[in-house]
Amino acid sequence: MGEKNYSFMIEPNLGKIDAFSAKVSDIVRKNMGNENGFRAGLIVIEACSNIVKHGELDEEDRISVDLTIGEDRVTITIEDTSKEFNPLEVDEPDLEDIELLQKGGMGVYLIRRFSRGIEYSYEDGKNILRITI
Amino acid sequence: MFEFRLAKDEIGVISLEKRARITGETSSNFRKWQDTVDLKSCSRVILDGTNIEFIDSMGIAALISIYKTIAAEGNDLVLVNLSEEIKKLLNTLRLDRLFIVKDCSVEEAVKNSC
Repeated sequence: MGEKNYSFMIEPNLGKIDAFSAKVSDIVRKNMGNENGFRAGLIVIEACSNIVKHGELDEEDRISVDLTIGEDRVTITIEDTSKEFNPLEVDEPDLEDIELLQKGGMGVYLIRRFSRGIEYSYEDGKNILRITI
Repeated sequence: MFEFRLAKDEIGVISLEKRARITGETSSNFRKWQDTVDLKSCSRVILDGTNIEFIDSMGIAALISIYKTIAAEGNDLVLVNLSEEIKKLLNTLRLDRLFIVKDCSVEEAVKNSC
């Protein structure tokens, strides 16, 4: 089986991101099974929601997502033009502190735990996050 | 979208009317909905996860909110019929120490026989 490549431009609102996450889950599930489908959907919704919540994007801005499904791995590349934000610099949450968990702070942790690898760069005014599962 | 019923007059059972994703706006609605039902007077609350298709960190925050309401009265939140993926997600966040996650039916959980 050769690689399958998909490219998407997503509106920066939570409803659109949720629908997109479901779509990514379906695509990956059909190719790589339920567990990977769930992981891909979770990573997409957490990463893109973070951009919407903290990135100060305008309505007309778009989040670019490339999905590559290979023999044994899925690569998700997310690009946005919001302010520079390196999720790899975020401290791990204190899982004993449920008040903190309730307020947020789980997203980046979940991306880390449900992926095999994460790379981040900031180039030409874009945050580029490449996640492998 | 969310349903609540009492079993044995004191055990609260929460379920979803149809298959849904607990994310974003649905999570906010879930948190608002819990204020419309009397969870505090339940001796135990069982959440039937049969129709939970997917959950993200915002949905988990809604579950924590429900847990806090119930735990404040010294009672348990029991989750049943969760998918393997959602169970793994809760384990990853070590939330299985807050919620009681069981592999059984709602009826068995009501009888406390699992």
